Amino acid sequence: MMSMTLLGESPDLDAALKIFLSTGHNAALGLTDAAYGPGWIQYRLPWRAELAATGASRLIDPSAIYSLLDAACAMTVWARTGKFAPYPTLDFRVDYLRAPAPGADIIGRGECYAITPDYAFMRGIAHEGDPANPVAHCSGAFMSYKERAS
Amino acid sequence: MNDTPYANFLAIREDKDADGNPICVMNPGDTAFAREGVMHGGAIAALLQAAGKHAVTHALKAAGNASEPTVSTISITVDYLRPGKMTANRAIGKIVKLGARVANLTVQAWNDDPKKPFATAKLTMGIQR
Repeated sequence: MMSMTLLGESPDLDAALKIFLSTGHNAALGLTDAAYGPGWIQYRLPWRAELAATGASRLIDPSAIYSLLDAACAMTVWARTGKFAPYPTLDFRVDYLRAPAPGADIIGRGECYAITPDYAFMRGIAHEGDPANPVAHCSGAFMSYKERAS
Repeated sequence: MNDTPYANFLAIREDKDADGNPICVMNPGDTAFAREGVMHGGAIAALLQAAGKHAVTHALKAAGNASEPTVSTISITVDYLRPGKMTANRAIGKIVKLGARVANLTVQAWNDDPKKPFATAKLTMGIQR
């Protein structure tokens, strides 16, 4: 079972991403091929029939693309600042720019483009291989996690 | 639900509430799990989106559409209000406007008390007749 603590105890982002992608919804989706750089993280969501919106369509469900983008953004504070800090999602928007190519894998890339001690702001895109031709765009606000004073 | 692999994958099904309004019910399992006792934000979004779509298809049927229109999501914005628990939960979509080509909705999801939703969404859906 993953917890915030376990992620926080990871020695580096590589180890944390392994835990992140091997847990629950992320693992069930099959998110893979983690890559990251300053302030950004990306995964690949491999096509499989179980993720289709309808059986006949071979189109990945829009909500699976949402999950890919949400996951891609979730750990980008670490990629930006170099240290773990949990920032749960406050709000998250996805614009579906067009239908995805049938049967295609989807790449999702998230970026933390602004951060304060309390809030972080993310944006990202999903595409089938050409970032200049995105299938979806996302943006969201995240809030730093603080223990409540008792 | 018939022919909806992704909804089946997340154990989301269409249902009706006591007043006959279209809702979606979800029994989250491993495929929706994020961390101890808490659902993944993406799985929550899938429930909200499914409830919105169910509301629109239901309204179009009630309006007497002969052919079955295609309903797609243009955009969704989810507000995460409190952690979504890994227990049975529900979502209902309220149609703000049903137009010829676009439907605008607000959707909310809750665990036990509909007055304490754990997430809400603003949903814009396209209708192709």
